Amino acid sequence: MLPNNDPLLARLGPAVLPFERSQFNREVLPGEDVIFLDYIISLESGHFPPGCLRCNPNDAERRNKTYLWVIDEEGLRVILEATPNPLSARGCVCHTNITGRRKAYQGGELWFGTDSVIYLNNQSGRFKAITLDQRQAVLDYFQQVGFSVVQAPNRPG
Amino acid sequence: MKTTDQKKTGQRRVTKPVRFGGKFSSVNPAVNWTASTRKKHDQALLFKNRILYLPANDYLSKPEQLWLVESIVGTDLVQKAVLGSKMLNNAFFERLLGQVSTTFYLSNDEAWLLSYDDELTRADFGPLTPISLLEAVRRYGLPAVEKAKEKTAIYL
Repeated sequence: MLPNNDPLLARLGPAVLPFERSQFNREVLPGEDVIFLDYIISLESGHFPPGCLRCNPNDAERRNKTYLWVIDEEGLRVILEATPNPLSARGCVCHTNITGRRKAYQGGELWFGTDSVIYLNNQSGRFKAITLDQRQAVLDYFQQVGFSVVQAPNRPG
Repeated sequence: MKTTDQKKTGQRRVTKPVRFGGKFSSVNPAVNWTASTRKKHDQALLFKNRILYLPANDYLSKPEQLWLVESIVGTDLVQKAVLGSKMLNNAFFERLLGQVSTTFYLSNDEAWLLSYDDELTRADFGPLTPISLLEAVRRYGLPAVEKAKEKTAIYL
């Protein structure tokens, strides 16, 4: 977790509420703001979590191994997107099941590669990057934590 | 599916009108006061303690999908809209979706529907063409539009 005055945080942010970067064109629905502590994994150690699902990012099967990532004041954390959320009509978790209704700097999807590289994109309707510098800052954050990281296209396959 | 009567006669069975309060009707309005507009196969649903009816329409096929509309336009707006109409028909959805100013975007090749237009999105997708929410829903359906909002982009 970076100190509050770290310049990288300034490049990532400012931290925003869910959907703030899209002028709140959506709202967090019931069940989407429940923080799934039992399923959230911190990546601040800089290591792949034990038992995480790995994949070849070019394989179609990667969809079932998608993790949602968020950088907020608690650091870099992920949750497996396929985690059921019976409290939400969506049926599975979303980024605010990591953050609740609090602010975050950035969010997106990632895959733990079989080659020990993290592949990530910025696909989060709630916390997405909107500038090229923010996207680069996200990559820098992952590298600063200790990961080898590759930017995946922001185009869902 | 034809009823036994229909199979025998080849005609639709007509319910005998019953007199209620001076007017002839096939349904007791005291039991079902929306009888004048509700049809037999309309699905009924309970939403925020209000009974609503979902007739066949171009936008929503199942009551369980109503959350898609909430997700796109917001719960408050849906709640206000159902105060004015219990029938979730085409007119209802067009009025509701038409009053939201949210804009979506299409990539140049119209292969992608996007919910953001910013520096990063243009770097990834090139020039974007705005499209209204109502038009996006008409063309691609509520599930696709909701997913475009949730994931920022969806391949069409």
